[in-house]
Amino acid sequence: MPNISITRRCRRDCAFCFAAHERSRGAVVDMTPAVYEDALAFLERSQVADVRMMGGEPTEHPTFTEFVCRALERGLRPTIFTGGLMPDEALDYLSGVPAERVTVVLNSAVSGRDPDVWIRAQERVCSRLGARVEPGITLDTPALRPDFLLDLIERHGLRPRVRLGISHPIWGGRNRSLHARGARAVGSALEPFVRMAGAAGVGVDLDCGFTPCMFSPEFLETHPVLADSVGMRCNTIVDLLPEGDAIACYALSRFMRFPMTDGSTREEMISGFDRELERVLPAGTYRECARCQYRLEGRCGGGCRARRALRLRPDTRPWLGKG
Amino acid sequence: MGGEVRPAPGIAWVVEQNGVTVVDGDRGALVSIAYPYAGLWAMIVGGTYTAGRACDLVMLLTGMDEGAVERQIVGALSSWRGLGLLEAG
Repeated sequence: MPNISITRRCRRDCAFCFAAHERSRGAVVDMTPAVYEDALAFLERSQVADVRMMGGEPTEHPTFTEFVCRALERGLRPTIFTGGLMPDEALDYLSGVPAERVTVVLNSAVSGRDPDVWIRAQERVCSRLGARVEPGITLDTPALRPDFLLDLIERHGLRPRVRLGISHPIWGGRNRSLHARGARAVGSALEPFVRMAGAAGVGVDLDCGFTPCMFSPEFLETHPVLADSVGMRCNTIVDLLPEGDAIACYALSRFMRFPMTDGSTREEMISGFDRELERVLPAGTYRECARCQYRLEGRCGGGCRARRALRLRPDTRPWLGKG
Repeated sequence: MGGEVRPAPGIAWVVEQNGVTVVDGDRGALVSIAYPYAGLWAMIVGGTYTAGRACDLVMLLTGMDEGAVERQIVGALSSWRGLGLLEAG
C-alpha cells in the first residue's frame, strides 16, 4: 500500500534509516495541506482506504493532528509509522482516537543499541496509546532478538501483532544496512521467535525483503501461509514525498521519481516504476537466485530490489537521479 | 583475436550462478553469457584479457582444440561488439 511521507523531520537519525537520503535532500520539509489533500485524493482514486503516514517522524509535522483528523473525516483509516519521539500534542490527540480507527506502528528502540531516552519515550507512548500500538523493529544484525516486544505487548496491552523489518541499503545512498549474507541469516535466527509469538497469540508480519531461502525448509513446511507469501514482499509501494513526488520505495529513492498528477493512480505508477526497474535489475539478491526453485515456482521475486541493484558492476550510480 | 577490448560506456553486469548478465542503463538487460564465455567476460572487465590467455582458459574449461576455441572466441567478441557491449581498448 502507498505511504504518505508528510515530513522530512526526525530527531532519531538512525544509522540504518532507509529514508536517510530523502531526508538529507534540501527539499520541502513539511507537506502542505494542499499536497496532502491531493495525496488523499490519489488514495481514493486508487481505491486505497488506508492512509499510511510516515516521514521522517510524521508526528512532528506542524499540522499532524489536522492531517489525521482530515483522513478520519473522509472515512479513511490512518496508520502512523513512528519512532516514538512523539510531541505531546500528537500523543494527546491520538489517545482520543478509538483504537479501531487508527494504528500506530512503533519502530521500537532496542536496549543497548539505542539511547535510554528513546526507550523511556516509547514506554510513554505505549502506556498512553495501548491497543492502538503495533510494535515493530528494524533488524540491523542477525543477533538482534525481538523477544522483548512480547513483553512490551503484554505490559501495555498493545495490539497482538509484531512487524519485523530488515535494514536495507539505499541504492546510491549511504545508510548502514545489513549485508546480504547477514540478511539471509536473519530468517533462521527469527524462527524461534515466530514460534514463541505464535504460542503467545501474537502474529508476526514480515516486512519487505524477506525471502523463503532465509528460513529452513522445516520451518516453511510448518508455516505454509508465510512460506507462500514471504518471498513476494518486495514490490513497488509508491511513497509520496512531502513535495508531492512519488518514488517506488525509499531504498530506490535515487532511481527515479514521478510527479503525482491529477489523474494518476497507484496502479499506473507501479506499472511505470516496474517497467523501468525490471529492465535493469538482476534476477535476485544472490548469485544462486538465477536457478532458485522458489523463484522458478513463483514463490519468490528475488528479494529486496535495492539489494539486487547493488549487485550490478561496476558502479551504477551514474544511472541514478541527481537528487 | 580482436585486439584490446573493454566494456562500452554505460554497460554493467551481474555475476549469476550460471553466468553473467550484461545490462545497459538505457536499453535494459541485453544478454546472458553462460560459462565458459562468462569467464572470458570476466577477463575483459578485469583488464586481464589477451588472446593467448583467453584461448588457454576456454581450452582448459571445454577441452576443445585450439582452432575451434579461437573461432568461438572471435565469434563471441564479434557478437558482443555488435551488441554494443564492448569497444576497442
